[in-house]
Amino acid sequence: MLSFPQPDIAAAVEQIDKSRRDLLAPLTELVASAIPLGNLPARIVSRLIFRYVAHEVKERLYRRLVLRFLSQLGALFALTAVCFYISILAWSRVSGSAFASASVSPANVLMYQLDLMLRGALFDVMEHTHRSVSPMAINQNVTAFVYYTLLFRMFVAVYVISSVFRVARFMFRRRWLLLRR
Amino acid sequence: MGGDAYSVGWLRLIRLLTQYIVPGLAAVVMLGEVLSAPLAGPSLSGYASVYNYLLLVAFTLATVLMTAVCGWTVFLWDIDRLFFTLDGRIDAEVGEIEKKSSDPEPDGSLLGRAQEMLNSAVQTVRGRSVALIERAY
Repeated sequence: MLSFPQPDIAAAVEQIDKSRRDLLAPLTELVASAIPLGNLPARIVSRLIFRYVAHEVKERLYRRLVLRFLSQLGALFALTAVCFYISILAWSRVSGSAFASASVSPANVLMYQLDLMLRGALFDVMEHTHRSVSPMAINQNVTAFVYYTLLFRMFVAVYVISSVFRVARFMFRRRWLLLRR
Repeated sequence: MGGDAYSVGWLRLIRLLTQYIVPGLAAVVMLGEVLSAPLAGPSLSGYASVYNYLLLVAFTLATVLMTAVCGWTVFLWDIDRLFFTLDGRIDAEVGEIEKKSSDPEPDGSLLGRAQEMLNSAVQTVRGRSVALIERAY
């Protein structure tokens, strides 16, 4: 139901909302072992506890659902970044002219990727303020490499940052609601 | 019917690629990089050259593919709608919890005493009950 990449959100919500009488049996066992019941049968108490904590459980399940989607998306973005790193590292070794610098090391390539991600994330800030965290620049004559790195920069700007903004907005709203209460 | 099977086939392929093949390959290559770093020289031998070409082709394709999958996932999931749905649900449940917690104090009636007794008993098993039910989902 929640399998990547096409989780059925409506079905997941429906599943959480569904009545789960089958859960009463393990809860009854827990209640019987944890509470000195006296004359009250464990089954009745477990039923009452179930009703008592149902909303809290549902809230936790919805939060877990949000976290699950975010972790899947985050893992996907991180994996793309790793793939890009390996590909530009291999590109720099295959074609010595991909970067305009003479000393191309894995650490320098990593810094170049970080610089590229910042340029994607901060839009024009890096260009406008002439800032860079990388000691290397790409060779503008290697057209394929230029457009390949542009693709990754666009990916960071369009997908990653827009997702981060939405997540931040969601979290801000929840925190704000929490503070208002 | 045929369209569904085709769609399921694509979904399975994407799942296989994103959860097993690409992460596995990336892990192996990164491990190889770390282990071979002290041995790497400035000149490329024949094997190393072929290896780097293979890496270049495979991971360039993987990057393009992953970028497409990310875009598709972001638009498919429609994060705004997803958050809106789940946010509304969380709000509804929180509202219910608050309503419950603001219920009047138990009076001296039989029901009130039962409620009081239950509340004190529940406090001890509440956390365990929540964890148990949550796990069951």
